[in-house]
Amino acid sequence: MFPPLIKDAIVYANCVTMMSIGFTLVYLISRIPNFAQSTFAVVGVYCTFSMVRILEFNPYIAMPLGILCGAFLALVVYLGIVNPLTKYGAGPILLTISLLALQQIFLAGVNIYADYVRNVLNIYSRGFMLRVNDFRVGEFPGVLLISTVTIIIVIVGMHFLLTRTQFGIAMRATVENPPLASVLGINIKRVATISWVITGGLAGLAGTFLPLWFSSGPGSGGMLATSVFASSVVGGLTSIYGAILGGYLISLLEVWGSYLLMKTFGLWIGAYRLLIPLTLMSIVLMYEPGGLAVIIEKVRTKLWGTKRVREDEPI
Amino acid sequence: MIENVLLKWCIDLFMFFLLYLIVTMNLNFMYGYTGIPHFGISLSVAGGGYVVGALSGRILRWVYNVYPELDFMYENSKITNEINANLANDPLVGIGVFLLIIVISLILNAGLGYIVSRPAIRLSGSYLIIVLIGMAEAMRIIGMNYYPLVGGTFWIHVPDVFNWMGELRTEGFLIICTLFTLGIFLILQAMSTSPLGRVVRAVRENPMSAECVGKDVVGIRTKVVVMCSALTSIAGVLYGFYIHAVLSTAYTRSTWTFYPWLMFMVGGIGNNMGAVLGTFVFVTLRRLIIFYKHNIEIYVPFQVQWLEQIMTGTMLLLIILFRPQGLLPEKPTKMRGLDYDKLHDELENKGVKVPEKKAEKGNIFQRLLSRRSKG
Repeated sequence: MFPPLIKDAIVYANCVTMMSIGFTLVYLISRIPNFAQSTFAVVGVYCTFSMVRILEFNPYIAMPLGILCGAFLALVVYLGIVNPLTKYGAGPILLTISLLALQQIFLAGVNIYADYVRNVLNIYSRGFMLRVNDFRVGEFPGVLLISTVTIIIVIVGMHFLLTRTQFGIAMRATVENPPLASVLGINIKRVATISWVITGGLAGLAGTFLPLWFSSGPGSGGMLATSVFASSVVGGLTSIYGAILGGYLISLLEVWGSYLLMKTFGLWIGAYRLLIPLTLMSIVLMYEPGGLAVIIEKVRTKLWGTKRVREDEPI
Repeated sequence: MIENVLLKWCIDLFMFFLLYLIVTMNLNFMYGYTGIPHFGISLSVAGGGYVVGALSGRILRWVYNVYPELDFMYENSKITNEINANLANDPLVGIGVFLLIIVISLILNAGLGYIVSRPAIRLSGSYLIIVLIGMAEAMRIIGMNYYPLVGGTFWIHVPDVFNWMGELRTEGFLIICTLFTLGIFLILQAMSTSPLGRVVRAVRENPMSAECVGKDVVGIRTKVVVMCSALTSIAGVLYGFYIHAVLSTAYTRSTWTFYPWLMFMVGGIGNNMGAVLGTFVFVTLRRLIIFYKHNIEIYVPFQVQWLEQIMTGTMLLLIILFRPQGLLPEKPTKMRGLDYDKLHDELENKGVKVPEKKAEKGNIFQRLLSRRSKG
């Protein structure tokens, strides 16, 4: 009785939100859009693929592996490229170009792996879907339940990390004012490294869920990337909570909007699904570049009159 | 025989050099001079290509009234063959259609440039990058899925408008492309030494102070994007006429956005000669890789194109890490009509520390365009 459209939307929204949390986190800490992030997800996709098709294990064993691989790649990206370049005084544009270069290198690596699996092990390695290897509880597929539980844990964990721990407060201080934070004795490099590792881990984790519901391959990172950019921008790129809201808003609108359009105009319109997040992003940028974070703040100011100041504000 | 192959290879190399040079110079004007990080430049190239694919065949079919009863997309090669036979002794129509397509492409892509830059042109770099990358992706998706445009994931044939040149067709087209590239080079070079060139540099260095002295920063940025999108689309048009076909899958991010960025980062930012040098170095390298690809292919269990991507990506990273200013660093522009020698002496007499005079070095075009008063 549970319509498949809602399953589609929820799995997709969970993956997009997981990635847009990471995207926003890196943007807050390093002030650059992390274009290499979609490849972390592709690595996660191939973790699940290897577990299921090559080693023939349960797909969920790939979850920790995906987190580890994504986190490791992010660590390499940060310590190998972003940190030295920032030290040399490179601007955001130079960093963005280098991230695009890294994305190309990683994607080529994944493609080489896929070709190798195809040619040497004779296993079809592009455009695969592993729904049959998933378990089911009643009419719910396992990936729906597990990804939902995971995203709840991630959101609660992020909230706890940012508001209740020493490290989270250090992180928020770094976001607000890096020089001042370092004067107060916060190790900015450590904060940034851990943020990058969290980003990589989340993207890898999101990637491990993808092939269990959607047809995946080396291009699935690019498929997600536009939605992730759009949800982060709609969320405002200034707060993690904005990213969560933006992630759900954009991906649910994308899935349901494209369904409605297909129902009205015919199936051909489904191919242009990507234009929905892009249009929404453009509208938000034209009218309120601050995104949902600023809109919510404005509404709150209107309702309560003054800007609410939280007592646990770090600085 | 071997000379013939070599000659063909050289012509092909030079052709791609010219096509990439158009893109690189425009990118250079947008990022190097104005500071707009246009990461969706493949969009304009694809725009030019789509115009050629969608319109040239249809216009010529209407002109010659070829098989009016057949479907244009499904009987494409038959119709194109018939059109080519007609074009073989009709130079006027060929040239006319070629110029018409260029004009249409300029107009359409100027409009497209305005639309895609509209949402984020007034915001900071990162937002603009995200929007432009997304827009380029959207353009690619429209080309891949809208069948009547350029045949979706198949391709569409482009009539050979220079068929009347006969044997010398390739060489003739090469000369025409050279003229177009030279024209664009002169336009951009003239603009970079004109008052507009100084304004865009001011916008790049400090948008706020440019706004304070009364310059319309958003307007200037929009103008530059619109103009450069239009000029870049010429590369797409020439590419379509060169390979006699338009493939929507050919305009990927890595081929027409990443490689041009790599080229002008190699050559040097904010410097048209740097763009020329970088494009030449990189295109030669890439054509060599493509030429020797099959020799490597037998030894590895994967496609060589991934190895190529890893190589180019690593190359860019190394350049960014070790020589961020590129092979030719940017030089300060000189204003037309201002006597720098006199200015130098005056400042020196006043006791201001000025760098030592250097002998005139600029390239021939700079000397031509700067028109300095001597003596």
